[in-house]
Amino acid sequence: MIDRDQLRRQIEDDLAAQHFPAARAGLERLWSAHPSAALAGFVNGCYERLRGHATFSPLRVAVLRSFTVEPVLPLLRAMAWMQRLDVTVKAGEFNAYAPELLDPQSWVHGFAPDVVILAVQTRDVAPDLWDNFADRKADEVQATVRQVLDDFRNQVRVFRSRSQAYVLLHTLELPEHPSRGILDAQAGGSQAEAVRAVNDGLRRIAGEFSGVYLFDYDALAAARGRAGWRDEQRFATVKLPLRAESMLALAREWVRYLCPLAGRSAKVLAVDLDNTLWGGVVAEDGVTGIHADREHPGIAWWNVQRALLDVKRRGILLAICSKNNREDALEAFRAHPGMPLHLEDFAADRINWVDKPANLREIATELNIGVDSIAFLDDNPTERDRVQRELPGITVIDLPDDPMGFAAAIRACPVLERLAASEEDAERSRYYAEQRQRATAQESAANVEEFYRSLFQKVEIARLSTSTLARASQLTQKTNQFNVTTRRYSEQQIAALAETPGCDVYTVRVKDRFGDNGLVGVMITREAEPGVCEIDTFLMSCRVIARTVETAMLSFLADESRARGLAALRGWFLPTAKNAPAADLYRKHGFEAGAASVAGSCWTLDLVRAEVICPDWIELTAPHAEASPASGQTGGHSQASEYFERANAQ
Amino acid sequence: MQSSPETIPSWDSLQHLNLVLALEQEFRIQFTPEEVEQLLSVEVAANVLEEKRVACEVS
Repeated sequence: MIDRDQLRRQIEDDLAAQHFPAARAGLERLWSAHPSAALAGFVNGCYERLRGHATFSPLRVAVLRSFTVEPVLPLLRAMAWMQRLDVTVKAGEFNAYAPELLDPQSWVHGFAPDVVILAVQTRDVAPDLWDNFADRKADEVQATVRQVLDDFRNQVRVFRSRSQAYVLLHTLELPEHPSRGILDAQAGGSQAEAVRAVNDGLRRIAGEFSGVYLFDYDALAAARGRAGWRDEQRFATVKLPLRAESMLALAREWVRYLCPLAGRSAKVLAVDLDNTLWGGVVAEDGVTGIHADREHPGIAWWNVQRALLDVKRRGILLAICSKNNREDALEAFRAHPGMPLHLEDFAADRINWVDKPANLREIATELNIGVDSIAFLDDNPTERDRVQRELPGITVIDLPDDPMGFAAAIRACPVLERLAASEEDAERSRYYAEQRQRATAQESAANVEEFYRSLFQKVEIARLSTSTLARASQLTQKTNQFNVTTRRYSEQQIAALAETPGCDVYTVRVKDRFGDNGLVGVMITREAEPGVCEIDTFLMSCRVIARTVETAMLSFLADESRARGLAALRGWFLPTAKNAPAADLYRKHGFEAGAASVAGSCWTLDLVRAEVICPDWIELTAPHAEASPASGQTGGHSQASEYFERANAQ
Repeated sequence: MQSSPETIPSWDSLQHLNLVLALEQEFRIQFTPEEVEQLLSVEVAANVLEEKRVACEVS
């Protein structure tokens, strides 16, 4: 048992001596063992002293609410610091969530939050569905459900029209004891069904707007146990409906949603093998002596593997990082074909006797990601500790002693959560298998042009649509290397750009002979001054780097601008630590260097005198050129996106 | 021991609630609403905790 006071003193000593990584490790251990209201003040104070000495993602959160939340806020900040989030949080006035969402002068707009949490209770927003339910007739209940949903939809709509902040809507909780007792579970007139109808409606509302998500408060209370969730006495006196443990659970759960919204997400989950993926040590117990099956004790690791498969389906890559003889490990997979996981499920592996931090760095390089995008899973606390010390930016998943708790720990890890999913995410692992084939093709081509031709690439450029919105936003947030301006856009921001007159948002899909790379490029242009098309964003996933796809993309922009009667195509290159691969893009395509500034360099293509030609080894599909009054073209039909049409229809 | 809402200017109802919650969690006890109202000085808090048979040092 960790001695709390001793650990506090140790942390203070480490801070005073400027041993910042040790202080942070100590704070994580202290808070994991003793999360509490009393300790939150100490923990938050220590982390404020760590600002500037470690990397944190800042996030501004506004909590609009129908009940007392103030005691939860320091807990939220402490839970957030654990996940490397520096949260600035402010609660709205008591039960004033509706005017605060609707009023254009509301403090919320001045506060400029990144995320707004709407923390409301069934008993506050829909009292007819709570205490007095037994008095209501069926048609009154339906009217209540409709009214509640109309109010929510209106509040969200008005708020979204003035703010691009993410919105997290609490679902309404079911009562612990329905008004009608066990009769409620039977057919007809159920209270639980009425509350669920509101929640289903909230889900539809979230789907109608960009960047609005459900926070499943009801599921949280149910998972923790409705019986011990509420504090009726505290609610009666100070309108705080939560017991101490519930407040901690709520803070923790809020952070599980804030992490993906803040971009604090892992791209790769690197896992150990012995006693992590299966019970036993393959080098000692032999391939037949290890277990991951539905019996005891193998069920613990069966569940771990099922959890990893679920993580993989969210678009997170799996990698193996194990100290083992490689042949033994591969043989273990071959000898147990019934295990949920197979070798092909892993995008990379380092199975050797080298230290794990070095292996993890190599995995990051091989998969072309930053080492901080890795989450690490290992049953051995010594290995976990070592990896955390040497690679402080990695997320190390804390595991309990009992393997039966491993799967739950994986599923509870916030950096493995996602709030949006795209086709690309589900198929990402398959893409990496195809990528190994592409690499082999590249090695065997005699020269680079032969390699390009051998790919049979098809580049499809299209306008942004509702179905590509999530992936396009994700690309602007994750692409660091081939990105000339590194502008990050949320879904709602990109949608707003697509609707702005003079602004165009394009997505780029690349297929080749090995398969579909999916959506891998985004281009955003605007007519910044008359006659000039300015490139706000031009990025490509590193999947399709060095295959002349960028030439095809630029050729489209040049032809499109020329067809609209514009005289020049202009783009900026804003250098960052990671985007050197894009530095020569404009120069290589005949753009001329212009003004330079501290931020970067400006490049211009004279559309009258120069052109960008799409390589003949690429088959390019693009929207037809816009008919321009100046050019006198009449044939071209502009392909308005579904998104434009929907936006105009509302 | 004479610290109280009257002597510490910034002591407001929210601070009072935070103190109550922290004490409850720290000593694993529950105050009744009546006791909460009475927790108006550190001295009273110490007495109530004593009644609930908790050893604590207050300065």
